[in-house]
Amino acid sequence: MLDIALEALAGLFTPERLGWLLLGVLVGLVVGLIPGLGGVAGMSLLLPFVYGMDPHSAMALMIGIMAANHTSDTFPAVLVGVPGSAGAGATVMDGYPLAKQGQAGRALGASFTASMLGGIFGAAVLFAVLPLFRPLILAFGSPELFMLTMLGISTVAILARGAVAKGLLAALFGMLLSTVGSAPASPDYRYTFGSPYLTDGLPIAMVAMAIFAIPEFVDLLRRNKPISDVTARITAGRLEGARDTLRHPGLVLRSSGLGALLGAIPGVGGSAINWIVYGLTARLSKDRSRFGKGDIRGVIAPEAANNSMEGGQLIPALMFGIPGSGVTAVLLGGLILVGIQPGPELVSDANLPVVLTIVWSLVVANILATAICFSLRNFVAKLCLIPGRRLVPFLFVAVALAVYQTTQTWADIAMLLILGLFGWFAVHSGWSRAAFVVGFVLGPPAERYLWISMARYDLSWLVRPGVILIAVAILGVLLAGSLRKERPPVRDEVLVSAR
Amino acid sequence: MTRTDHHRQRLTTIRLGAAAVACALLAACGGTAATDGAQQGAEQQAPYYEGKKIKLLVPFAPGGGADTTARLLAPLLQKAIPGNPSIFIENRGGGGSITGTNHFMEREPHDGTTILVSSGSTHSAYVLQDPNVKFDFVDMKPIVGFPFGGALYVWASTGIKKPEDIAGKTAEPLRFAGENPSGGDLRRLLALDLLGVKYQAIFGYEGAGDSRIAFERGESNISTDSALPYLREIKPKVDSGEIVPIMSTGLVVNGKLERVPSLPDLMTPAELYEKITGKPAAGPEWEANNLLVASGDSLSKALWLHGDAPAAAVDAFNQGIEKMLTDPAMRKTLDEELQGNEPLRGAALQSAIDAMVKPSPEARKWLQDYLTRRWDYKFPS
Repeated sequence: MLDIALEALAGLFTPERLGWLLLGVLVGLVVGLIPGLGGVAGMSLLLPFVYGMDPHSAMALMIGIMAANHTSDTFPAVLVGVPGSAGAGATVMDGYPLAKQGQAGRALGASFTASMLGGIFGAAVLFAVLPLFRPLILAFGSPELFMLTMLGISTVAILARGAVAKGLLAALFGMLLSTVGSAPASPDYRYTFGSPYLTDGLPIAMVAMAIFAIPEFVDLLRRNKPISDVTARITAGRLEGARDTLRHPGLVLRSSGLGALLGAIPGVGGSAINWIVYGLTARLSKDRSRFGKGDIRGVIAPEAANNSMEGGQLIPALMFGIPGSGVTAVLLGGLILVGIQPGPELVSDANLPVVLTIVWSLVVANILATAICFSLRNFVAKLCLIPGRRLVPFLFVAVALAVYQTTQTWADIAMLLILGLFGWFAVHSGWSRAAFVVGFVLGPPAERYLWISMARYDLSWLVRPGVILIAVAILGVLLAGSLRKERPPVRDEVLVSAR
Repeated sequence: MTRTDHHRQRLTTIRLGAAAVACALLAACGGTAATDGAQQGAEQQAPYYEGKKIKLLVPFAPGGGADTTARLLAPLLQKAIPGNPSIFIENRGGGGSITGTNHFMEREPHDGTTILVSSGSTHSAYVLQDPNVKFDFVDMKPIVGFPFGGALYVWASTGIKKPEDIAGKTAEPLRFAGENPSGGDLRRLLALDLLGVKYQAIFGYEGAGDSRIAFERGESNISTDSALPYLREIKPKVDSGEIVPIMSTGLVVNGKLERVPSLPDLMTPAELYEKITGKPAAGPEWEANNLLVASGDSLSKALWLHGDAPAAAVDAFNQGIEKMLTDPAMRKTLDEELQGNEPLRGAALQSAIDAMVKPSPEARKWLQDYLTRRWDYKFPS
């Protein structure tokens, strides 16, 4: 096994494959950097070239995009408070306040280091777990999956920062909006009002942009000041950031592990994972007074998780052909184009080299992406110093284009503005946007798996051991939070914008 | 000479210069046109698609089955169509492929420079008369169709030993894990109902892969798969006695339900019905079944031009498809994807489409009643 692994690594270091990998990383970095464009856009851009390539090069190319995308999406999340992709939403919570305090360099340094470590961890998990994966995935039945979504929802209590009732309402509103479109288990359309645009529901990328980007744009324009209040040492502190990450090895390990596990379980959904990990990190920390105001741990945890999740998501994709995200769906399409059928036999001896190429590509792509981001950091971090009225028009055009390209209907732009308006009111009246997004992404799987559990087991699913285990975990999370003394929410500028 | 005059003169010189350049360009163009004309004369006629681009519209987001098929076909067609037009793919997802297909009919030029790939879900939305459907396949010109039949099987733990047992008493209640009582699952469910099978349908799964896992972990004990995954992953378990195959979906060929070529051992639902009941599988209910099979299995994927596309475009595509199917290298690539099914063309293609677009009024009525009664469909009256 080890010699095949080393052979695959050597195979990756041929100029051709390394070139494809680098191209993938560059494309991934660009689409991650532009708010609203994600890995799916990058992948579909390069998919036409995949046809006819040798499987190893094709995988190097596609994995490059997949890995790099979640490294560079931190830039806009930290620097302008706008997640570069839906997976970077939680990074905004603490990264953006740090940037406002002039610590953008430190936040970025910590984030890139965490991304790299998380990505490598995810690759290691993929490698280690692949042969044992079948029993693991079969252990999670629909009732357990439903409970996992509840675990995710329980993090709303912390995301709402004291205003629990408001947080819960925001999450419920998110769930309500997620029901728009065709119902998961019956031939009905809900809240579509006869419009074909609404039949697929609201796309998560658009909702994330509307909720996080638009309100930020409005406030930046209104203030017309640079984002960072401190202008002197904006780019300093990169090594300090890296050290921050290395000083929290337990946090990196826990977040990466959780990211890989949640990624591997089909049905949780990539965009929810960074929130769940963020919420749990904040919930389980001894001192959580700084979360939401610029705690470096609030950057490290979701960034480690959203890169390790890619390794996890590849497991059900490769073994069962189940895409856990849009990116893995396109990746599966690419695999089929180069003549590889996903399925259990992918782990057979004949296909092992390709799988190992995937694992190594993940590792190398994460390192490359981090190196490139580190070297670009000084340059990009200066975005923080540009006055709002010069910066926002460019960002707005980028976001509008990105949102429009998914379905190419004007309704996308209209929805962006409508939900953006809602987001702006939410910010200024103290409703948690994070709780809203968690409700929005976890609503559909929660409904799906509750429906299935009831249909299949009536109420007897409630006493399954796995269900009880997760229920205990949820109670633990909730209690761990409330046993500690809760400070009343502080309504300062930083806090309000971070919501 | 005054200053103004001088100025004017300079302007004139510039204008003259520009005119000269324009003339030279025109001459050059004329020259090219003349050469083109000469070449055309030599070759009788330039291919319709020479120098043109074709947009292959995929009404789904990237990554799905139709998208993969389109991306597989594009480079082959590019080589095979006379004139070698470059073919690019545009994804226009939304509305379960209805939005993109509506767009194809309403907005794209009808000159053969845009073609559409449709899939079973597009066809079943059409057959089930989804209110959002604004297109009619009658107004489109089919180019080629790809059939993908499938198999239905159960765990041996159900106590079922042979296909006929499925309609009788079983050791454990039969459960089917599906996405939604529409689209792909519907024709499997209808076949089970026609056979008189007592089963519980559990909906809410995210897709075929998700339903397969539900089968593996025992949440369901009836499952279906298309032919290739069945042969690769399920057949070994059939041989070891863990899984019992029940039937294939069948394919509608010239109006009749025939066995799937790559699954020759499996009976069609109609054959199984005749074996169980001793009665012929006929009547509007079986026509309704064939309607669903025709639209979802026989025409699992199809390529379309607009119905009023120029004859030259249609000819070019026919030649291109012919070449793609006969050229050994292209055929090899294609066969890996087609899972042993013969692409539908000409009369066979037309008959599959006719089964979809011109069902008998009784069959359509029966299907509507069935959907309303059994699956709570609401049809606008």
